[in-house]
Amino acid sequence: MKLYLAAILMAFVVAPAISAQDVQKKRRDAVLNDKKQLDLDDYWVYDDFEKGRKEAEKTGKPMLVVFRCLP
Amino acid sequence: MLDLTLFQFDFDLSFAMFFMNADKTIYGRYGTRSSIEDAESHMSLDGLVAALEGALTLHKGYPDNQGVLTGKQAAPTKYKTPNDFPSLRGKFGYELDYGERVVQSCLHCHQMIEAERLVYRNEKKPIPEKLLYPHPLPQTIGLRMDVDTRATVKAVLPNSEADGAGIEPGDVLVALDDQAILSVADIQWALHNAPNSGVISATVERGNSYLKLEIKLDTLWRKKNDISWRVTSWDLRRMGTGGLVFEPVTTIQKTQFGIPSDKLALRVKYVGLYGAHSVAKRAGVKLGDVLVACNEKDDHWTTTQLLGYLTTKHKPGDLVPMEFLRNGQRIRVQIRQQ
Repeated sequence: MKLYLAAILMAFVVAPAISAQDVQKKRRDAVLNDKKQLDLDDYWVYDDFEKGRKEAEKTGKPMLVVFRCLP
Repeated sequence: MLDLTLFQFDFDLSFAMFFMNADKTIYGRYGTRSSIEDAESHMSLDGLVAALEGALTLHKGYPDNQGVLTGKQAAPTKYKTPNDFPSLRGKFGYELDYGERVVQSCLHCHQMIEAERLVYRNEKKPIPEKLLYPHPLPQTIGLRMDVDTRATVKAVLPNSEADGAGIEPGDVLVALDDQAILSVADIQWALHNAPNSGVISATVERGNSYLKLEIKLDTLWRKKNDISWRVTSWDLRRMGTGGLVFEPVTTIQKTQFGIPSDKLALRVKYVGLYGAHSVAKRAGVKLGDVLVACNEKDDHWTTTQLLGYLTTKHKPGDLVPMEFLRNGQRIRVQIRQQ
């Protein structure tokens, strides 16, 4: 019985930690996948303002700079 | 690392855009929020397209149009990067770590507002109004904008600053404080940098003519900017209320409680549980209590007004008496300011 109770308590203690870890992992994967996609995309320059600025200088076009929170 | 000498925007946002020249001149900003639940009520794809078209027009006219762009550039700041704020120093690297710890390596924008407020708070100085009520929404001066357009006025609140200036529904706001306006975010930027009291100009297109109007701002205008929805108000709640989140009490409920309609009544909808956010809990405040007096004042305050009062009129360490209504009884507690 004690073992059973301990197991239940452990489950309660560990569950929130796992849940927080899951959220962290989801966010990490979302950011890394987002970066991977945009790195393959010729249309956007990801996290490199100077590269985008030089491109704008070369082409004479204006820049659209986007700031986003972690997905 | 974010260059704060260049990129300044509403740091409570989770999405913001800049339209720029390659020489780093800012043509405009896009991205506005006024609640947690409805994050997109001030934005639309049509509005973004209109703002982008406006930016292209400014780009074509550049640099002859520099006069209407000067005010749109970043304001002078002593903090050149987030790492320059004393409370953030050394906590984050200059680059994101695109590995396992990418989430932890990312500084949240709202942390910069909190860090700048802390500079004043730790020196026991009042937080400046511009920092306390950042990026005022157009409705702060009585303007409601059509979010599907660049800057067309949808409605004007009677007896507001905009009404006093003579702005009318249907007007297109071409410039505010001599800055070209492309979006609601641009209006907010102009208002953010407007004086705490004084006059700013507004140029509107009405029919086939352009009118230059004057908007008079009195000493109370900025305090009407609702900050209760902002993530950064979480830390103001710690400082002033000891971790309490309030919701308004309706006039009907006030009558039931025996509180006059023009008097203070804010119901506690959340009590902070841990650390510095649990000061009110430890002082005895409970969920559902109704705040009816703060430092003997019982003016009809909103959460914004309460937080503004506490963080400008009191210093860390002050004990502020607060009175709550609970089951018909009045309960008095002292909340230590942080």
